[in-house]
Amino acid sequence: MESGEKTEILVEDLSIGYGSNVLMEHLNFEVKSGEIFCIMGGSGCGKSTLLKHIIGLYLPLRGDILIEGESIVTADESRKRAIMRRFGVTYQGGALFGSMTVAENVALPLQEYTDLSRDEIAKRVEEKLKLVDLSGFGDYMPSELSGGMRKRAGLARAMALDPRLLFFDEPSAGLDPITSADLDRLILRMRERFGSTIVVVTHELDSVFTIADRVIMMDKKARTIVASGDPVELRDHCPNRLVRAFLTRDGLKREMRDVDVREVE
Amino acid sequence: MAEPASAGTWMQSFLAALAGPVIFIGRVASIVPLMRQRKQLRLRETAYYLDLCGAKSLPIVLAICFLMGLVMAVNGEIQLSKVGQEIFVVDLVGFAVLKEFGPLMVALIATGRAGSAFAAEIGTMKVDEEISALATMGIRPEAYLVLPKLLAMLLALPVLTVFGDAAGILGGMVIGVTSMDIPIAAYWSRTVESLDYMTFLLGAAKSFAFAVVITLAGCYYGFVTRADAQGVGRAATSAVVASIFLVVIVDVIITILYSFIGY
Amino acid sequence: MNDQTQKFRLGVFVIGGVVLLLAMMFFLGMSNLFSRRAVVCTYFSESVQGLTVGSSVKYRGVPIGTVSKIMIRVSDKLVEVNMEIELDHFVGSDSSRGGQQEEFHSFFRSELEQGLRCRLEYAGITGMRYIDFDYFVPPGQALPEPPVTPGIAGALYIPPVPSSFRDILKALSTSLERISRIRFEEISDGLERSLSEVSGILSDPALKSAIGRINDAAENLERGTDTLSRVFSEARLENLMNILEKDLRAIDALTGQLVDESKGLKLAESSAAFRDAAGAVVDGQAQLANTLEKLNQTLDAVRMLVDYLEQDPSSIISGKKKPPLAE
Repeated sequence: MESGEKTEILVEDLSIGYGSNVLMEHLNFEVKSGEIFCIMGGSGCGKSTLLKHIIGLYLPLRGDILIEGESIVTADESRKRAIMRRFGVTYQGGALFGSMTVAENVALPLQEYTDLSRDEIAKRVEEKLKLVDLSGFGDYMPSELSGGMRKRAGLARAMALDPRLLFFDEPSAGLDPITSADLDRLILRMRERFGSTIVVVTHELDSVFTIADRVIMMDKKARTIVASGDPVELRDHCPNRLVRAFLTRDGLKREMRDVDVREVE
Repeated sequence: MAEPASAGTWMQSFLAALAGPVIFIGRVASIVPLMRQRKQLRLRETAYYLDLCGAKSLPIVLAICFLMGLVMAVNGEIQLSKVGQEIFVVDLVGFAVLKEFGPLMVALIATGRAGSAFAAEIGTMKVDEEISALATMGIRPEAYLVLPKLLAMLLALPVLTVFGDAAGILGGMVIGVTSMDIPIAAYWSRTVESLDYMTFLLGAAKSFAFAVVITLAGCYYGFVTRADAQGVGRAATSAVVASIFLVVIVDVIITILYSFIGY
Repeated sequence: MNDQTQKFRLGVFVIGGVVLLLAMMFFLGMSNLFSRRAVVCTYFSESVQGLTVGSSVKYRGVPIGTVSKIMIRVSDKLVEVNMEIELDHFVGSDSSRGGQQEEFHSFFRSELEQGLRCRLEYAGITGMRYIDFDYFVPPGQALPEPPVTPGIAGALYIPPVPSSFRDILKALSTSLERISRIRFEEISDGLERSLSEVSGILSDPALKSAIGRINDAAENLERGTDTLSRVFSEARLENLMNILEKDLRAIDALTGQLVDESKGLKLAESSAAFRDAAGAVVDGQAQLANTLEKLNQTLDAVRMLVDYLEQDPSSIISGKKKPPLAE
């Protein structure tokens, strides 16, 4: 809650799911300008699905999502694409295009949306690769990179158009703690440099405590948000025992096994 | 009482099953106007697929069509020798290759090579969230992924068909010359005499329709790939089966249409 | 490197495809689209079985074009055949190929006066036909008027002559008709009648006795001449003259009797000739019966052939169809 004067993302009474299978309902939260916002929750509770709703890939069952005051749910096709262009999204596996080199991947959004010359694009690409510590890897194919490098390359591509909103889907999934910590530092560097608003989907506690200004906790059984606020504050003072257990890692397994969050509340 | 209800649900599920492909075709159709912009043509991608479905398929197309011509000539010889009119093997092979087997064999080879590859490629991209990445970059996945493939196939299949036609006639000629002792010149002049360029053109024109069908089926099954372990494999299989079925259906329809104009 | 080979392969693929496409189009008749043509037409009253659109048109064996359209005029049941003549096949006086339309027309008009006509001909063994232009009629004949004005404006009318196949059929059917008009039975009856009459005359006893008497008379005459030479003297001459006179009178009477008796008959040699003739007639009757039978067989065979040909004209060239192989 440090820097937020302006609301970047506003989620109102959102229900998500596939068809009749409702994953989450009555979701209400907002993301302030310039903050790092973490969406937490157990595996399969719908964190990534929520993210895809926010970035406009899926249509919600109910409710609305406002990006800088404009609904991405009701926007028509061209408006929606205009909104989406303000996003930079980094996917779990990097989602680089396998048929192109790393540099070409990063250059793709620039070629699509700018009239920059070939040289200017090359310069920008080099800039972005340097930003994610991948200088000199431009000519590599994605398959030749390690998982962490792929994610960083994905971040470079997400940053290509200097987006105001950055989304990370499970940035530390499948990475060793050191690489994961590197990525966390990168995320912080992004906000520092560009003042970006950043939404991170994760269940990695180290990351959360390193980067998050604010978190929301979702629970699969409750099908909604069970806690929100500063992660340290939640860990220490949250009335929900399970949230505290989740955030302290100790005894998490024991607690999570068969306790219903609502009962605890 | 149960009957209308089950018919209704059957109808519903049928329409639901149909909705997916129809919406997909609609999305692809909506990007066609974008093709006027040079950027959207993605010549590099198109060249890549043209190489994959065209140039690299050429040896197998030549081999299969040549053998088809050979087989047809042998069978034609056996039958036509009963009435003492072996020279008509030339007509048989020529017409069968130009009208049917050239375009059809090429379409089936393209299904096996390109259709399954398209489904697998797009399926993998979907599993790896690359499709989502495209969408969040504001790029229409259909424009980016389908259009180059479609263009490449529209170019590659007719060219392959021309090669296939020539190989098929050559196959018939080999049998005609070696087994039936028809002089090459006689075989050639009979070929030129009995066939005309409209037969050839209309046959080759079929491959445009086949290209569209194979590409759309391959891409559609790629896009509906489920993100599980067998998803991509299943998508490729479905794409091939659907393509072969649709190619034959389209072939029937075109043959009927051609019969109206007398070919 | 890899990129270069891909580009090269693509280039070969596309260029090869286009070249092959053009080559096939060219060989399969696309070249016709670019040649200059003139349209001529004709009207056949006979069947044009075996002629199709695309059949070739030849000028004294030189392929100069194709049949472009075949129609039936319902008013007179004539078959109108339009032909497209490629002007490329005509070399002008200044050795320029593919002269102008007018040049071609004037050439054909003058040739028509020289007897140029068109005719349906068989092309090889397949029963397919082509149209041949040649000088089928002697020069200077009046040009027949086209039965109707040509369907295509500016189309030159080339009068047809009946095809040789049609000639054969026609000749066969006239001969058959004529042969059928011969009254073989009457001829046969007449012959038989004359034969019996002749043999009746020959076996007549009167003829035999007449011949015997002529012989006797001749012997008498000879004997008389002998006696005459032996008794030839003055003294007996008068007596002899009297006897001679008497004898002569007897001979005279005999001759008169002979003449009476053998009225209508010839002398001995003529009767021998008659006998020959009678024998010949007997022979002839046997031969005639034989001939008639053979003629009958021939007629049957010819009629079968004509029937068969009418059903399947091409068989005159391709031969009878082999029966299918036994199972």
